[in-house]
Amino acid sequence: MTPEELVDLILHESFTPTSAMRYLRLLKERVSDKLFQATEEAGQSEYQLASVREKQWLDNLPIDLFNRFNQNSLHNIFTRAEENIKSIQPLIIFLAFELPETEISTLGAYLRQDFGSHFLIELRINPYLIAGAAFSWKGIYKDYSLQQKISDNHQAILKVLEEYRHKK
Amino acid sequence: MPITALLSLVAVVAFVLFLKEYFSRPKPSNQFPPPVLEENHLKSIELLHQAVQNANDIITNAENDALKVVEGSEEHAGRLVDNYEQRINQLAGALEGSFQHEVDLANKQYDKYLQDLIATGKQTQARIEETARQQVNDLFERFEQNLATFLTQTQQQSLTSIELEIKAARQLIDTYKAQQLMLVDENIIAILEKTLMLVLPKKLELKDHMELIKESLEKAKAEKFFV
Amino acid sequence: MAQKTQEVGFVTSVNNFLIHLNGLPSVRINDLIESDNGIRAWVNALLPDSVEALVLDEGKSQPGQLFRSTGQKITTPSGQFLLGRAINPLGVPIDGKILPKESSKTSADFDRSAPGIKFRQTINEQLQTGIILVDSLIPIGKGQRELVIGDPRSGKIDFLIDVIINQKNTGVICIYASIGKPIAEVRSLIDTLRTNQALPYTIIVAASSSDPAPLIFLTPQTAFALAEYFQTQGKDILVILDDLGIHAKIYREIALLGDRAPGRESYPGDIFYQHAHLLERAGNFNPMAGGGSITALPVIDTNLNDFTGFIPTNIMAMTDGHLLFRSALFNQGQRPAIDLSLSVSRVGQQTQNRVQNSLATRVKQILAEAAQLETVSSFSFELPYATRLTLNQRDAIEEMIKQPPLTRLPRELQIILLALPLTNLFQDKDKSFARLNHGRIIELLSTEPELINLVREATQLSSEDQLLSVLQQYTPYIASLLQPTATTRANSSHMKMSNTSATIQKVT
Repeated sequence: MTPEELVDLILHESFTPTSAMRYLRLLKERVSDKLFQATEEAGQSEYQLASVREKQWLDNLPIDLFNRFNQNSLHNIFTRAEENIKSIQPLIIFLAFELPETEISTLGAYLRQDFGSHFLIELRINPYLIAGAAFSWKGIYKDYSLQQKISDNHQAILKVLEEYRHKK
Repeated sequence: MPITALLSLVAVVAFVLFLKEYFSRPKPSNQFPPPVLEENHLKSIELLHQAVQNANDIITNAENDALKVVEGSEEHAGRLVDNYEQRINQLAGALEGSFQHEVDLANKQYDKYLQDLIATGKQTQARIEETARQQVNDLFERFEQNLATFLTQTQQQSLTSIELEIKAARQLIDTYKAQQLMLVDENIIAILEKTLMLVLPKKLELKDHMELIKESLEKAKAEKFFV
Repeated sequence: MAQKTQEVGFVTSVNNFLIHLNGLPSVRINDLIESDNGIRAWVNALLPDSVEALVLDEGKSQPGQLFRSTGQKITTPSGQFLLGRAINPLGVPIDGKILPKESSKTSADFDRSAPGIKFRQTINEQLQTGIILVDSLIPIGKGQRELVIGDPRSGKIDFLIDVIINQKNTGVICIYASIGKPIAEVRSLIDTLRTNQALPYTIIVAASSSDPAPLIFLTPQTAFALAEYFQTQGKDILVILDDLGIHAKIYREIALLGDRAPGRESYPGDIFYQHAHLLERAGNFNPMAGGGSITALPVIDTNLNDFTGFIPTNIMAMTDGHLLFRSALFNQGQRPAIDLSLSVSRVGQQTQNRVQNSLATRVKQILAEAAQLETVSSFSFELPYATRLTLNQRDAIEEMIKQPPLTRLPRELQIILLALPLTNLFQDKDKSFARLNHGRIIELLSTEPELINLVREATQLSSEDQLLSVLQQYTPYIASLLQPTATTRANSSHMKMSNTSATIQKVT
């Protein structure tokens, strides 16, 4: 197993850097367990803290996948995979609310259609955006939210309100 | 007087010389003086007596001469003094006369001068009074004019400045009003945003939100934001 | 209201006031960045994969926090309106009043590089401090950098305050940079200057010890930025940096947090550069650079008179002389408590006139000789006349150069005071004579009509010998107006009593 393959595997399931790192850690723990035959009394493991979906993914991994790791290469592969994932610059999306995980996956998949399979997004909450989204890409921030639209058109809005007031 | 003194001195000197001679002579023995000596002694006493007499005569003559001289000189001095007094009185009389004449002349001139002065003074006073009266009149006229002009100007200036102040105040009020209205507008927008922030998340469904997000993404793509 | 497009960065690590950020692609060093909750930070370094910034405001930053680029460098407002004001290094007033509206229009650059040699000219004018010891024996020129070094409580601050107050009506603008001092000290300084009407031509730039370290670090740069603003208008500026030892410690803190390799005494390797490039901005400038001059008086507090430490020797190397204050001299009552034998001014001599210069040389010779003879004199009772004369002169000179705080002596008066011990006025008199009559002599030289003329002509004489010969003619007159000392008073009162008794005897 090469680091690139491992990255592909991880990014197939995750769309944000945080979840990618979590999947990576889960897999590393499982592979380490398998290779070094850890007992079940090894304390609170990542697996126990994982979500249902993550547990399902881990449990449904093919067994021959684990055979592609050995004790010598394990650390190296995972370290390089981690570096690879960390080096990916995510698109930071500011939303007015918290997206559920399914929607994150949908959004991630939608974006990967244009930007490639290694594209990651990072979501942040800013309720002041009201609706829509703002993006930060490679250090440039641009606001496409409703709040920005209102700010841009506030004269028109005030005019409308003024007309409404006069009508009354 | 000096002659008397001189003669007295000569007598005294002669006496002293005699005494000296007498005492410097060898003393004869006490018991029986020689006859020659006796004779000489008598001669010398006679001589001495004669000398003293002569000296006294000389002194008396000298005194008489001195008295005569003194008398003469006193008389002369008296005559001189009288002469001098006479001459002085004459001169004094003459001087007094001429002085009095001069004084009289000066008085006359002075009187004349004073009278002229009085006359001139009276004329000048009259002229000055006239000029002063005219100047005062002119002054008052000019003062009235200036005051009138000043009052008009001041009135205009104060009116202008009041107008400017009012204008500035109105401008300030307008600026303040505009600023407050801007604040009010911003407040309206803020209230609107807040209202939307509170209402929309509840009203809009997830589907609508996702559509808005996708719309934003498309817009960003169109603007080539993701280079 | 957020702008539509901006450069942003996200905090990746926070270490006290040092933050590392991801993003901010085109930010430059000394740029200002700001977070959504108003915390400002100053970009300190551009690392290969992150931006290092120092937080200037109080408030906690967290990893992931967004910082926007303001597009501006760090600047401070500058203008005439700052005279008489106390501000922090970012230009925010700390004296309770606001800045006028025009403060936003002009600003001074923090990190200007020092003008090169073609913009400078020789230092040829003396900075009159009004303190006889300094002006006569350790003169400071306009454009010179003179280090003020000494133990705490050795009178350095009093001296500096006197120097500022004595610049009244001279056209010199004073900028006092208080670097990391307690806020109470800053307030007390402002009050003292206000009481002595020294505020109208002074600017105080202060970062107190409770301010964030990066703000304290910026204080001397703000002071120099303001100084350069006024200097380009042709004015003479006096900058006091109190004190650079704290500045060095703050820089050490910042550098260690930023993982710079520590050098000697854990200071970073470029600590010399930090101070040198600051002090280089002082100097005497020719009309090409706007004329004017910036005189710098950096201050260092030593520990137990140890001026051989790292930072003091650094600053000594980059200044044109130093004034060494000793707490021992301060405790003995000498004001200012400057150790003349260890203080030096390398540039000031060329600013004095011939008379003052030669007089100062002669006085220093006498002091040096007396120091040598002092040890000899303690062994023998009978001293030769020449030795006694030198020691007498030394005592008289030491009394004449003492000056109480908050007083000012004009240059002409200083020349006369310094020359008087070289005449026969103090011969055969003990030390208490000079001490008792010091104030009276100054009063006479300032009020007696004959002596006023003498004082006025003092600087126009061509040599020190001429001055002394003129002074000798006046010494009997001066002596007649002075108080005798206690011993001579006792002698003269004894004589008076014996005279009175003789008179009484005659009457009876």
